[in-house]
Amino acid sequence: MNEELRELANRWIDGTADAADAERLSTLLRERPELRDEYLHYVDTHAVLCWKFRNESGAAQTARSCADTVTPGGSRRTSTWRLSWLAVGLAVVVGLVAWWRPWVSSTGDTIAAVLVAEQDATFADRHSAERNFPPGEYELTRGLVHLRFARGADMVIVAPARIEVRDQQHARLESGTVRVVVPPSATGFTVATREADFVDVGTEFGVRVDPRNGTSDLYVFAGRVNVADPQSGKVLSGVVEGESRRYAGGVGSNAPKLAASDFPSLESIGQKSLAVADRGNEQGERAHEPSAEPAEHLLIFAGQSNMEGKGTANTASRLTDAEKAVIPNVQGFYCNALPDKGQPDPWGLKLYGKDAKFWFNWATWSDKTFPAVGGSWQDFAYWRNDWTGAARYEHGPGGEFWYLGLNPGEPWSNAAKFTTGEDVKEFGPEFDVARTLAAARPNDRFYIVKYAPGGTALADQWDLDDTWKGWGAYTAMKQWVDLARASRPKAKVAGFFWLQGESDAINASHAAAYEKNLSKLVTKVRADFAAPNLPVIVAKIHPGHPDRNYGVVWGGGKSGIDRVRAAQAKLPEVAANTAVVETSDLTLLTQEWFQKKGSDRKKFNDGVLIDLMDPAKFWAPVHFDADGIRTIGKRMAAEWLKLHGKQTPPRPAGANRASRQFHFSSTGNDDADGATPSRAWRSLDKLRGIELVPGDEVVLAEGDRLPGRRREPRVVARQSAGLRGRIAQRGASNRQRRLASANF
Amino acid sequence: MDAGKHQLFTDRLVQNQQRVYRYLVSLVPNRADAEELFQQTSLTLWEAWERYDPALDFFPWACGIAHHHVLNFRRKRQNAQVQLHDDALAVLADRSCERQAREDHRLGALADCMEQLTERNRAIIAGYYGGRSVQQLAEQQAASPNAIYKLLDRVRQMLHECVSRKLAEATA
Repeated sequence: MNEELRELANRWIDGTADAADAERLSTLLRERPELRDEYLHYVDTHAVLCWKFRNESGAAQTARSCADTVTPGGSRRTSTWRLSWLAVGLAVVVGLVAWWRPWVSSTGDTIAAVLVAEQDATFADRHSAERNFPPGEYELTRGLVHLRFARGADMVIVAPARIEVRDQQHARLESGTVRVVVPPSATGFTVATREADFVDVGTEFGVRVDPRNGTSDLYVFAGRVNVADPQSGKVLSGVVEGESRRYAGGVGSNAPKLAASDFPSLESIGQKSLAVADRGNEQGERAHEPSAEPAEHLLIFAGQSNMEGKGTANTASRLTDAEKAVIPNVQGFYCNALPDKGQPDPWGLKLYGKDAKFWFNWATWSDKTFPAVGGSWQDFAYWRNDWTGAARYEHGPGGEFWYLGLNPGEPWSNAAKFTTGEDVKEFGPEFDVARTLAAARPNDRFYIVKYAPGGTALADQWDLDDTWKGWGAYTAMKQWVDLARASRPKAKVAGFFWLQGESDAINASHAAAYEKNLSKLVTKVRADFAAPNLPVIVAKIHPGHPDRNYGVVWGGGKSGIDRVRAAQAKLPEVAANTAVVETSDLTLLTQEWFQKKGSDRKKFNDGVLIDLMDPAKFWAPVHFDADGIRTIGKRMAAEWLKLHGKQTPPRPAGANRASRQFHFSSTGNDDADGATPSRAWRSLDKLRGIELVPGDEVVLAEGDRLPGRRREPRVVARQSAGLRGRIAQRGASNRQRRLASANF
Repeated sequence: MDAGKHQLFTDRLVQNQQRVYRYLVSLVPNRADAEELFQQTSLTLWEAWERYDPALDFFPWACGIAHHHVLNFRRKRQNAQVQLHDDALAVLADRSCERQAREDHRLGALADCMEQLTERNRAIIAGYYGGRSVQQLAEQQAASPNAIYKLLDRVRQMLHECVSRKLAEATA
């Protein structure tokens, strides 16, 4: 067998191949037909091995995947790929109108990286005030910085260091110490040094270059790094997890003992900068009035295109001056990097490409994009109030990218004339939620974070189980919200606003799963943001236009829509402290509006050119118009005020509400969410903010001593077999519940 | 529902499972990914069974469906994983389907060849293909992960040569 082919095949099978390997293997297979059989023959041995052990070790699993559970006419599992091409049509209509890609600076230079955090950092070239890092050379003379490269690679640089930022995937370390964490979106990220190039293969690693002689030391924390010759680019060796290597005078050797602690982690700098921020806050507050600390609420807005807000063309021009004014007690979390007009899509998104991968691309654009550019809190104002709260791309008539986003203070209409010549600023329900709440609670502070990728289905792209390993919309939302929370440590996650479901409605199995998925979403959000009683407010999807119903046109039928709406209506019965907002009385956008906005909506889908504006085939109204979106916002705000003000959460009407568990352990952590034994809280004081309802369980380890306990809890039931005692609230009356809670 | 056709379909599906799986692995060698694709493909085959024409060969039809899943999968992962070029994958897919359509006894040959491995090599193969990570194996064997990769590659090659020899003998 061809030796090169075999090595490539082995790397391919082992999952250690890099982009150059893929390139070479593709070339061999393309240009040398005789190698194809050799390759297939070899990989088939691997395949048979997989098959053999699959059936020996995982017989139960095998049964699950094959004939035993899925039978014709029987129940079928939902799978993610099953969007029909009609459904794809919806994804375009719902999704494409808000396509955007941040990544080009306002000066026209490509930004290669942004500053995420720093600690006492000083640059030799007065760069320290800058957020953006265009390609160039930087010398860090003091402190630590955390940069994030545009494809998502994180780098902590320790002074003294001289580093050249080359582009979003390449840096050259002249001297100093860096630690790099590379997510899947940035595989291939390379740190070049005088002695060797270190090419990531999906990993975390540290590099240290001696300023005196250029000796490079590499330490791999996780995964694998390919070491390449800096001249030829040829891969010399692979270094894997836990190994370290030294390169000097063109020769590799074992490095002197290196440890993880030689390279400061992202977390250490993050925590330090947070700690600094906390200290600052506390001092500031002490100087004012410590007793009158305002409540700080962080509100999450999520969903698909209606949550982005599609229907607000011309709204800005109809806003009153008061509505246009900045609201003093509200801030929004906005992306750092604004795109520049006329720049090509830096993420290589081929919206008009011949194989039109658009609906898969949601994964690309929802992935590490936001964390990659970073975000910051700014005044909440209509002109910034886009679906990410930041600048947005649209397509010019020739398919080029233009931006609709603006610099702070710049009126929207200045930038929005490229297609229709009119003000097309759009915003979602958060605009009126923020305004209403800010007026109702003038002494509170509100922080708005939004994540709403168009065309995404809860049963599919939201990927609640994270089967796409970090590429699902839910994960992206969580990352974005976590990023926002990090710089507002005092704000409590206090509301989750959800407007979504059209993409589920047009697929029968997604629609059938909506009830289950919605309640799963609520559970997950509450667990992930450590807010077990989080008010969740859901707006129902619109039942569709009577003449041209989107369910009928795109799939799923009217019944799909009805199922999703019914599932949404049922939420308050299955989850406490939730509310649903009706939308059937609101109006949808007309087709004319979309056509005016940009008529070129032709797409290839699996080789077939479809015209999304073709009224006979694809067009159906699905987006709320301006008034509709604004009404939804007002209704959601009213529900939030009811839920958030409530002393006692509404009792579930159905008896089968899943009970909540709150776990405690002396080895627990109060920053966890308390939902499972491994995420146990430490202090019983955590129960103070929680209204226990019958069925809730507080789980303590027997004999465990916890801080914050005033007296022995009343043990209602004890689990005899295990080590843990269980306190269950069995009483049904409010009085009993209060008694039980008062024990903590 | 036509019970006879249903039975025929079920039989053919079961007969062709291994081929479909191997076809998928030939295009997507990562076991976890191939498993996911195999499940999706099986599901689609079941859902599409009424559209299957019993007069036609089952396997090429199944290949087509599996291929479709591979393409979707690649689009989803296009920025997350290194991938073969589209054209290279296309030629591979065609050829792989042709090859898998033929009967072979590779599984039996493999079982014989496994017998000939040393204890340690067999344990490595069984551990890795049984689902352990290279990291776990490295700890277990007190070796570096890199050494485990090398060992795996070498044993896989030995098995491959042995299997090839046996298959050649069988046809000779």
